[in-house]
Amino acid sequence: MITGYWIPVLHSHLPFVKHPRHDYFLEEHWLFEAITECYIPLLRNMKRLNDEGVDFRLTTSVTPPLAEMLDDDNLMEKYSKYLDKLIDLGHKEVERTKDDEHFKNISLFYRDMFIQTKEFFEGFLKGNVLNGYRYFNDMGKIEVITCGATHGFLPLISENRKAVEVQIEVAVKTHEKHFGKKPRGIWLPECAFYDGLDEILKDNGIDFFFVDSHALVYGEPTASYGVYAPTYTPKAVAAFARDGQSAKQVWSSKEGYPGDFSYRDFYRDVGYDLDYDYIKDYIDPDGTRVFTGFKYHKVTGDSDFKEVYIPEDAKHTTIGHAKDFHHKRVQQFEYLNKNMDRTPMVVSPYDAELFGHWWFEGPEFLYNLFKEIEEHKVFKAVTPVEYLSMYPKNQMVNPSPSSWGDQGYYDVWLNEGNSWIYRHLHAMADDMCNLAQQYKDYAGYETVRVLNQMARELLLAQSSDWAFLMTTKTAVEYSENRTKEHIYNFYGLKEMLDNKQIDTYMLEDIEYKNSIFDFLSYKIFL
Amino acid sequence: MNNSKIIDESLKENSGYSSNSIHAIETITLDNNVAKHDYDIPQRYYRSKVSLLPVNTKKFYVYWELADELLNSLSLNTEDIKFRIIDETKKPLFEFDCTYFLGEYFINKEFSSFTIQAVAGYYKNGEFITILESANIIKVFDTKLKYREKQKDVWIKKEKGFTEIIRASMQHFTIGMSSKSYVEEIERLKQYESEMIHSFSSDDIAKGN
Repeated sequence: MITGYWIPVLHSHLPFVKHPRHDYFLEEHWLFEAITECYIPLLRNMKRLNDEGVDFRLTTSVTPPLAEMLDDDNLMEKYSKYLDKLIDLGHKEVERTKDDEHFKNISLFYRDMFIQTKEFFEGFLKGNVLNGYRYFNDMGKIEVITCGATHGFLPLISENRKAVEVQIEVAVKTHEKHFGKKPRGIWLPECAFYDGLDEILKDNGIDFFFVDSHALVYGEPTASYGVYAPTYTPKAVAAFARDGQSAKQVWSSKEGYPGDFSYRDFYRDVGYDLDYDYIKDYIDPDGTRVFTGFKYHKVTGDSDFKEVYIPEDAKHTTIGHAKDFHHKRVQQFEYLNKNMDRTPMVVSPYDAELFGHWWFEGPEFLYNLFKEIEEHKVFKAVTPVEYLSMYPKNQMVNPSPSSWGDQGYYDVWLNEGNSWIYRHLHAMADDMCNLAQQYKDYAGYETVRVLNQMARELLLAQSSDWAFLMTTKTAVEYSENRTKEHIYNFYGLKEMLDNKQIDTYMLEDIEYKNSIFDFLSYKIFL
Repeated sequence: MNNSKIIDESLKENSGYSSNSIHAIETITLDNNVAKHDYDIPQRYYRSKVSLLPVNTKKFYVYWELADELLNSLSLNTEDIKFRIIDETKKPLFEFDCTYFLGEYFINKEFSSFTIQAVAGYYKNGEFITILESANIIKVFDTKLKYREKQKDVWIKKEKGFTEIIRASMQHFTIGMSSKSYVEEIERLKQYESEMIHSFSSDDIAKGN
C-alpha cells in the first residue's frame, strides 16, 4: 500500500566560468571537480539503477549557466584533459604507494575511479555531460527543470520588473536550447519568492516551482496540508514546499549522514599533503596548491587525526543510511496519514553538488535509497508533474515572500557586507531597458553586438552566488571582483555607445570570455 | 483532518538548511586564489532615486542618490532631505535623515503594515513634501498563521487545456479553453484522484481517499 509520495529534488548549479585563452584556470577547475565528483557519479548511478531495472524518479535543475558550460566544446575538451591528468596522477600514486600497507588500496581505488569516469564520459556521455541528463529526461526517469538565467536573486532585482522577466525568459530559452523543450518547472534561485512573481512564471509557461516551508505555512491563507501537498498560486502555478525533516538528515553538518566517521573526509587531499616537487604538475601552474580529488582519509572523528579511508566500509554505511532515511519517511508518512485526508507528499530538495562533492558517498546513498523504495513499495518517488497529474486539484494559496537561506528571508543576499551591489544592479537594469528602447528600431551590426554583450554582463552580474560568497566570506575577493568585472564591462560597453566609438578589440575580448547565451538579443529588454 | 498537527509538522526543522550549513558553492570555491584585478566602476549615477528592499521581518534596506539637478531645482540642500517609510495609506511609520547625497541605511524595525514604501522629501511650513518615491512597494514578511474557514477556501483544478477555480461555497468559474461547465464536488474529486492513482501505477495499491 502506498502511504505517501516522495519528491527528491537536486539543484545543480555553478556560476558561469570560462577562460578560453588559458589552458588552466582555477575557476574552471571548480566545474571539473563538480563534474567528476557529482554529475558523473549521479548519472552513473542512474544508469546503474536503470540497468538493474530499478524504478526511480528524480527532479533536478540544470541551471542555465551550468547547461551552457556542460555543452561548451572548449570546456569539455579541457575537461577531458583534466581527466587524463587525474589518471596520470593515479598511476603515479599507485606506484608511490605500492609498498604502503595503508594507502596502496585507496590509491588503486582512485586510479580506477578516474579511469571509469573517463570511460563513462567518452562512452555513455559521448563527451558531453548534458547527454546523460537528456537521456534520463527523455526516458521520464528524471524531470530536468530550469532556474533563473544566471541564478539572480529575484526579489532583490524585482524593482525593475523587466529584470526578473528576462531572468525567467532567458532561462526558458536556454532550457529549450539544451533540452529541446520548454521546462515545466523552475528552481527559483535560493527558493526566493516575492509577491507577484507567479505572474511572470505563468507568462513563461512554468507549471511549478519550489519554496521553503514557511512560504506556504505563512501564506495567504495558511496551506491546509502544510508542506505535504502543493498549492496553487493565484495565477495557478503550483508551489511545492520543502520538508525540513528530510532536509536535516542530509544538510545538517552535525547530525546529517555526511558526517559519519566512515565517510571520506573532504579537506585532506594529496594536493595539500604531498611534497611540492612531487605534486606540482597536478596543482595550479603558479604553484598554488588545490584539491586534486585524491583524498585518502575518512572523517574518523572530530579531531585532526584522520584514519585511512576504506571505500568498501563507506559503501556499506550508505546502505544503512538509505534504510534509515527510508524508515524515517515511512514513519513520517504514517504520522501524516493519521492527520490528513489525502495521501501526503514530501519534498526533499538538496544542492546536487552536496552529493559526491561534499558528501562523496551521496550518489551511492541515493542508489541504495531507490533500491530500498523499490523493495518495500511503501511510498513512491514521483516528479512534481506526475504528482500534479494525480492531484490536479489543490488549494489556492499566495505564498509568503521567503527564501531557503539562513533565517528564511533575504539576509544572506542583502546585508552590510554586500548591499553595495544592488545600487549597480538596479542602475544597469534601468539603463539596459532604456538602451533597448533607444535602439529598438535600428542598430548597426557592431552596436547590436555591444548591446547584446551588455545584456550578458547584466545577467552575469545578477548572479546570487557573488552576494552569497561575500556573506559566507569563503571567496570574498573573488566574488567582489566578479561583480565589479561585469559592472565594469557593462559601463565600458555603454561608454562605447555614448561616445559612438566601438573598441572592437575590447568588445571581442569580452564576448569571447563571457560567451554565455549566444542567442541573447538586447531586444528581450523591450 | 488535524490542521494544527500538520502545520506543526511542516515547521519542524525548518531552519534554513542551506546557507547556514554547508552550501555546495562554498566548498567548491574553497580554492579561491584566483587572479585579482581592479575594476573601476561608477561611484554614482547622477540620477535621483530612493530604493527600499526587504531583508527580513525586522530589517529593511534603503539606498538613495540625490542629483544636484533635483536639489538645485528645489533650492534644497541635502541637510533638508528626510527619508520616510510610509504605509499604503501614506501614513509615516519611520523617519530618518542623512546629509549625504549618496547613501544607504538599514532600518531595524518591525512594521505591522501590510505594505510599505520609502519616500524622500522635505518639510515646508510643517508639511512633508514628497520629492522621490521608491519604485518598490514592499509586502512585509509575514509570520502569522492565517487559517481560513473551510467554506471560504478556494481550490484550483488544473488539467490540460483548462484551469478551474472551485470555491468551497460552490461558486466557480473556469478560465482557459475549457468547455467544461460542471461544478465538481469535493467528494467526486477524491474519487477521481483515487482512480488516477490506480491508473498511474498498476502494481501499486493506492490508499483509497
